Amino acid sequence: MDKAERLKLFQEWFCDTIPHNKALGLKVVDARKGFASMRLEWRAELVGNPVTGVLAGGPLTAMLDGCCGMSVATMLTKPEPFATLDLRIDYVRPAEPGKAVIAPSPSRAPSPTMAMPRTRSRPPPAPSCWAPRAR
Amino acid sequence: MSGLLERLAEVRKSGEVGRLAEAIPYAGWMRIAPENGTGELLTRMRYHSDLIGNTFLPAIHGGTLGAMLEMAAIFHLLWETETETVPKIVNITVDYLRSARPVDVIARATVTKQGRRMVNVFVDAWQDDRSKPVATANAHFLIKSDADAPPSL
Repeated sequence: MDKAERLKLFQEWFCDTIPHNKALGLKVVDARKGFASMRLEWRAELVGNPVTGVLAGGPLTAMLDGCCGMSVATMLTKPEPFATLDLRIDYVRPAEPGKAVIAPSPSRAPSPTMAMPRTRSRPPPAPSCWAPRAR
Repeated sequence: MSGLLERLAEVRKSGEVGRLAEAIPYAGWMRIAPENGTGELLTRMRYHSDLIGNTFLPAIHGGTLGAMLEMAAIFHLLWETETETVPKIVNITVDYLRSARPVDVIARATVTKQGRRMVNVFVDAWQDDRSKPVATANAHFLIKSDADAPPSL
């Protein structure tokens, strides 16, 4: 499978068929074994602070959860269901108003029961938050 | 977020606590709003189909649960403490305990420790049965004005 086909598969699997990810308009930037990356476009209805236009924490939480999940999926040797057990987010700086946020999420090889991906989202190019996670 | 603090002053007079959410575009989009429980402030996320994260079960997206736990903490801090600034989230840790069915989610926040600059908040969220939480969270917020904030925040 070439890269374009792979990105199309993950776009359909994680962004277009999961209603909340679709509602957020998440786009797959990259997906390969042990690595996933998504992009969230700035939109007025996702703003938490209408005075500054800074995004709320919630859309970032949902994006980081989704992207860590996709990162885990790239490591699976066969299709199987998995679920988020916990999620920690450190907010390093506010996402800049009007700019998209990107979440590159590497994942180490999972154990038979758990995977712990982490991600560092960024309005290109500054890091903004990270999220280790288990399944 | 002066709009939210002005709204808070109005809501304190009228008692219509749900109107706090109107000052936050994301809360409106997600249908998350505070409401008066029996002697406590609760936050409700009304179910709508855009919240779904797993269409097979079906179950609500974990990210939306994290989002509503965070919003519940913010509404609680605004309403129950005498903060003069909108609390800024520093970090949040969410534990997912059960899959959330496609119905409303309700959350209740409690302040574990309030310091001069930081506040530690615990939040739990449930659906029909309060004794069976679907998710819990611990979060830290900065509650001092911007001038006192560390440069990264």
